[in-house]
Amino acid sequence: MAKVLGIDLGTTNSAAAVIEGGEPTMLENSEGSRLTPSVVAITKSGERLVGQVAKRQAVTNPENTVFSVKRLMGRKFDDPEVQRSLKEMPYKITRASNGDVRIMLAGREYSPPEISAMILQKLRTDAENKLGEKITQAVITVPAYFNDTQRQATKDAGTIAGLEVLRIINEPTAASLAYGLDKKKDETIAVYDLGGGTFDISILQLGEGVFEVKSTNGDTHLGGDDFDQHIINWLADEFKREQGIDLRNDRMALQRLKEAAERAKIELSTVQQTEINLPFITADSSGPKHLVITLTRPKLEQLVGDLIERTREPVMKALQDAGVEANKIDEVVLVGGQTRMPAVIELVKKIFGKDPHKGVNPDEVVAIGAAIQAGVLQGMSKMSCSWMSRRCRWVLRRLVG
Amino acid sequence: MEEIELDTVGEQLAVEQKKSAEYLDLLQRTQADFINFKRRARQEQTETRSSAQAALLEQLLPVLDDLGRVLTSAPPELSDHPWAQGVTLSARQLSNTLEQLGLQTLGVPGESFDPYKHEAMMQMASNDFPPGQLPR
Repeated sequence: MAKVLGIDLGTTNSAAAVIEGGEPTMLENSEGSRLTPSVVAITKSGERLVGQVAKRQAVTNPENTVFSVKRLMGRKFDDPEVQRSLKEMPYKITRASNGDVRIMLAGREYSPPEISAMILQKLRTDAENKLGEKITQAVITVPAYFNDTQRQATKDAGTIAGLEVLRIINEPTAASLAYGLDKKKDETIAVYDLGGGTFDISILQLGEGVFEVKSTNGDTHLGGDDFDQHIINWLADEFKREQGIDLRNDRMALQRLKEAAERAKIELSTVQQTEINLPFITADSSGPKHLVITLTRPKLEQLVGDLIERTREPVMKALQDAGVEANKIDEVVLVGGQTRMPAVIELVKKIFGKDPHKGVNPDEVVAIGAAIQAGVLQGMSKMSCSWMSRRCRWVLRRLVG
Repeated sequence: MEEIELDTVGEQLAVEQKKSAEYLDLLQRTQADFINFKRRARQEQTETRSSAQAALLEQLLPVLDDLGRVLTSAPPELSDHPWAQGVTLSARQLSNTLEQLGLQTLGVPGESFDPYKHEAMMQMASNDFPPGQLPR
């Protein structure tokens, strides 16, 4: 049976999954990773690079390397989000004659869906190689706040990549499906999504087999990368205080700080303290200098406390817009790698007064949900309803609505 | 009476034939899925061993980098000291062992930058190297 690919087309990373033997399975890309950076580049020799390889060469080719194209999808050039990207991104964003956005890469103009299609094309090819069969259909997820134009742009990207997009589904809906919440009775669900670069909160109402988005809120520029930056700044400040040298002026040292900060942050989700040990981080006339600093979990929580707290207001606004009180939320779902941090889980618990769902990898939960939806649609297109089990039909009714 | 019975049997037969065709279809699809699964399981088994080893070696890379820094910044006056020589020999032993496990040093100065092998951390102006080459 031809498989339908479930795709999480993310701002920072993308991922793909399929249903195999009735179970959702994450697919590794050709580099052996389950996450593919949403980065596209054209090299000086005209070669197209996508994913990890594109990311690796970014500093040598910044004007031809596109990050975060999702922020531009389906938007007009005058949109404030596009104007913000224009200032922040090293690649050139231009206005098309109809007011749409175009991206200049190696002297050629591309639309955001064309760039997204390159990411989808890689996911598709890698999935085909992994599965040993052709993939022609997909389910792609989008943020719940995406409007019709943005959804259509995502669908167009799929078409350009040679995929028939059977359905565009909301990321929070996909996450809820991954936890099997569709099997529950009518419920109100909060999906708290803190990824690498964006924060989204969605309030969903499950009823009559349909997930209805009651409200969404968030911060398009808040995520795990900001957490890393706060740790890097603290490390650099501490080192400057002790040694009088600002490591932020040394690109090589800064890169080592960045890697160490991310590692420490991840470690502190499971242990109470960690040692950041960077020998020979720099040198002056007196000889080599080493950086050895112990970072404890409480100190980390103090360093990033303001960032975690910044998610509270959007959550409260979303609840208000949905007309629901926090303690009336039946289920809480966490999405995004940064939600592994105990202090983040604690804040979510405090707001909603209940434990969030755990168990599915928060980096993969959206792709898993997309695959579950894809599996159901795969069933619809290939199976005749006569032998479909009652259960299967029931799920279909609930999903399709 | 017999005709009515024949009609009923005919109908039943048609239903059963339809069912059996569906079951056959399902069986064939499941069989194809299973063959694919077996092929992938074999492939994954081979990949798992090398990826587990690669993951372990990757964790060691920052330590190896630090050890490299230790050796390159050894004070010249200590170069003939037996203790320093012991450190150098131990480092060489470690790098030989890792080489046997398949770990190779990539990116010698003068080599062209290749994103499939290298990760660029920065780009800087140099009179000694043409654009796109690794300085160190």
